Amino acid sequence: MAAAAGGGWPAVCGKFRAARTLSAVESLKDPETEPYRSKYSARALLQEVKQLLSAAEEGGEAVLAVRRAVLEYELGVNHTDTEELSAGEEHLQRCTQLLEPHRLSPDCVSLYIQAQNNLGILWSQRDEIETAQTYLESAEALYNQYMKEDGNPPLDPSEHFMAEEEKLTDQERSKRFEKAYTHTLYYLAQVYQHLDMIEKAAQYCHTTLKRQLEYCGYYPVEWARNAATLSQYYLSKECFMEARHCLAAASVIFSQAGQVPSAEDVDETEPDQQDLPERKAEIARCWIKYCLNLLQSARKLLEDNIGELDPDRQLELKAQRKKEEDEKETGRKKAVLFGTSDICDSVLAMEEKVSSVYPLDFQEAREIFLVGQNYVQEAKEFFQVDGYVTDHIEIVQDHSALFKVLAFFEEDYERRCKMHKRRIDMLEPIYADLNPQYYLLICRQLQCELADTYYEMMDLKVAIGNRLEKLDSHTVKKINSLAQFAIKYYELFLDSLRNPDKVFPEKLEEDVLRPAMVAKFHIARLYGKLITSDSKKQLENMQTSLEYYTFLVDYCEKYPDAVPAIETELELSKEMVNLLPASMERLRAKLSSFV
Amino acid sequence: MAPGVRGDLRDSSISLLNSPSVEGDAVKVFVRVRPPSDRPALTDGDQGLCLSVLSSNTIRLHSKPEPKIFTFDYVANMETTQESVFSSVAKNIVESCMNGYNGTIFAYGQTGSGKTFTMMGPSDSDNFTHSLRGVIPRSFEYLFFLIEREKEKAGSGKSFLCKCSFIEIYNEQIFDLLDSASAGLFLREHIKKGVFVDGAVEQVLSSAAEAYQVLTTGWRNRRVASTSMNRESSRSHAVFTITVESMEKNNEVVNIRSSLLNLVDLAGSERQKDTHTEGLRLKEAGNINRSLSCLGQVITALVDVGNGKQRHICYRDSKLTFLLRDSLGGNAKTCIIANVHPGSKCFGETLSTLNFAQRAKLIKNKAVVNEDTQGNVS
Repeated sequence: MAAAAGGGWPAVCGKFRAARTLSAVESLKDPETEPYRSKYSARALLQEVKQLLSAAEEGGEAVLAVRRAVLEYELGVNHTDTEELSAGEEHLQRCTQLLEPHRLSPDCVSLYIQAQNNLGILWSQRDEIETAQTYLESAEALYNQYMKEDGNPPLDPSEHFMAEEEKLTDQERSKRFEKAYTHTLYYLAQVYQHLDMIEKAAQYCHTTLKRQLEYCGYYPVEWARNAATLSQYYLSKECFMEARHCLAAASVIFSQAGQVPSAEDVDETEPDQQDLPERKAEIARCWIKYCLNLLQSARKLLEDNIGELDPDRQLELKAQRKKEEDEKETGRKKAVLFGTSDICDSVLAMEEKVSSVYPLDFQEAREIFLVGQNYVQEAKEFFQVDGYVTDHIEIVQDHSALFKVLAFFEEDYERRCKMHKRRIDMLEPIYADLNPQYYLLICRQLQCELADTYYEMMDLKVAIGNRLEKLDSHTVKKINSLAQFAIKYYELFLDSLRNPDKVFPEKLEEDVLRPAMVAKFHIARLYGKLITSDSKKQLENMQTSLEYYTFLVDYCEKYPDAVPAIETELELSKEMVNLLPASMERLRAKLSSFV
Repeated sequence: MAPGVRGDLRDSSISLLNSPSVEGDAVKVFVRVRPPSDRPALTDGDQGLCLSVLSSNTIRLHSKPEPKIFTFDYVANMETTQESVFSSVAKNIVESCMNGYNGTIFAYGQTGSGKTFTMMGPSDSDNFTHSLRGVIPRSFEYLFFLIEREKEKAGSGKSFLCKCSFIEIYNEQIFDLLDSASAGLFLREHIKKGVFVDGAVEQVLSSAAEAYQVLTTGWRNRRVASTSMNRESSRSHAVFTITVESMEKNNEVVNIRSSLLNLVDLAGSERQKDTHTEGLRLKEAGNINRSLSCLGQVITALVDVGNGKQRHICYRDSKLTFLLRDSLGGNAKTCIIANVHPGSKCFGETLSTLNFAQRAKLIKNKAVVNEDTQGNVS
């Protein structure tokens, strides 16, 4: 008998094992010039095993069929690895055909799923992602059906070529089976992303992360980073509970980094251990965005039509929250929870430190603000200005944005003004040092933000002044100086748009159109607000104001496609262009009557 | 190949188009068609070629069923000399550099399309006085010619300082080609100086001859490294940077201008196959490694489509794009030389190079004179 001649079953198993080693271990060392050398040798061995197998008729038809399927699978993977897709497909198809009647049996289910995973990969290589999707979804369905109907740890495909005494433990079997299924989900996440099924892709990413935790198949830092990034997806969907859960889990898992790994993982250390402080700071930055978005979304809910806190809306939302609090959250939560019991406890403890519901008053907003501010400090520890200019400034900008949104919740105008002053104090020194040669974009952002902040402070001072019976000279001075600063930064921004010969562009590029127009509009308003007892000076200011308003109107006449970007501003400007000359005329008449 | 090197360059050039504040001069794009190699490939006449140059700025690609016509700032045909490539591409940028603007010249294209020939010259010669020398050595000559002329004109009132560095980015690691002993350099940022390679050797230059010397040493190191350390030069980017500082004294006021000139030989563009730009292909899980390493990329892509919400993405851009951020839609005068091989065999790569170049034309830069006035007027 042929099998006997080759040394019988043990020899067959030996060949099979050798082929797997060649394919998985040796092939990594193949030279660039012969990249598939070991894969080809592995293939030859597998073919040999196939020959021997048909001759050795032991164990009956069913066993033989499964062994053949294993070989077809290995050959299929081998061919796809060596870029022979059609041959690979044939082998994989033959594997699934052989298994079709037994696919739900513990002997075959794992192999069947892995064959379908590979068919999915194969079809994606042919740019036919929908076909890939059908294979992967059917693998997913098979797993679910098997777990429902049987659920015992199934055989690992490699076991079909093992002697009885080498066979795996149930624990190991289950681990490998679950891993194959995790891969199915991981591929599906990619398929859905390619098909622009974003929500589904996110859900599968989430599940993949979850399973990595459950089956201990993860690197802490990489896992934490992925979870933190996923939280940013949830932020964009305003799913704050999910975002917080991802972040809390990221922080908890991150803290495992660098700990002594469990015995079975000793050979695998995490790739980017030396970047730990940077990774930690990055997770902190994701937390900052969480706090910021939560506050900003809450502001949007609470705003009235002039951007102030609407007390009716506030009461309404508070009542609504009370009603919903208990029912909704618990149901959603079960689906997304990460981790086994002790990890889960730490994650929950982490979550308790910050709310995931919209803050509705200053107290609640302040608590979220403070958490955000702590993460600002943590992130800044690594992203120092010396070495990480861009990152550092982004963090400071976030800090300023946190103050800005907190100010919305503050009812006292004086205190609100102080918050804006804090923003000025953190942004101005950075702006002063920054070289526009390399950081033009950031410079412009800072110019606009500083201008807007001064503008807002001036408005607040005017509002405070209006409550007084008579404006005192101190307030007047304050208002004027704030207005002057705002004008200064708007002008700096507009200057940055000039070409190297200092000429302002005839037509503004689309991306700076709105900021430039708003800057012009605000400057016009600011000149209108400047307070002076000197009528001549006042006339001059009105004249300047008119010029800026006119710029807007003329520009939009010349380039009508600019109109949609600044509709409100344009309307007001038109009004002012009509009104101002008359008021100036009146002022002039008054002036001349004194002469 | 690290994931994302070439792909990121492409991606960022596209994403910069949408970035909120890019404007001004468009990136200039030149296409150069190299002659098919020395072997007599022309035996079957024009049949063997997949493209023809129609005029000094249009090129026709013989695609089926419809041929495609591309328009660029300049198209150099097979007969174009090194000298004429230099004058139409680099001269202007070197001049702007003297006037205080930053400038960058990239060579892009598949391996074998003539990037190194265009930038450096014939590969077997270390002698940059050769008549076939490329853009980089010619830029040295012209730069120092201009400096000498300025000095003569301005007398003792004006002085110049030139420094250069030469680095290679391979597998997302930075190597200093002027110091073969160093390894693993890092990119850092300075609030005044922008992005720089921390610890890279900076050599002071006073003449073109010295610059050749530095270039030769660095180039030799690159070749040595590629053989001894199993690095493949077609997979690495080489960046030669010259800093030109001028100081002009006018009574009490000192005017300092500084500018950077980056000359970049990019890795072969066909390597983009290794990255996610290749289309729909799924990333496989490692067999041994438990890392499902592409998951992060998938998640990042999900976050990318976020609708204007504030978010932080934990995966930084590649070393090359970070280093050359200014040159791609930043504050610099930039030109890209897209090199193509006309052989029909190269049709696919040529098409993708021309498509890339077409997109690159849409990138806009805003160049600002880098001037810093010190001293007291009062």
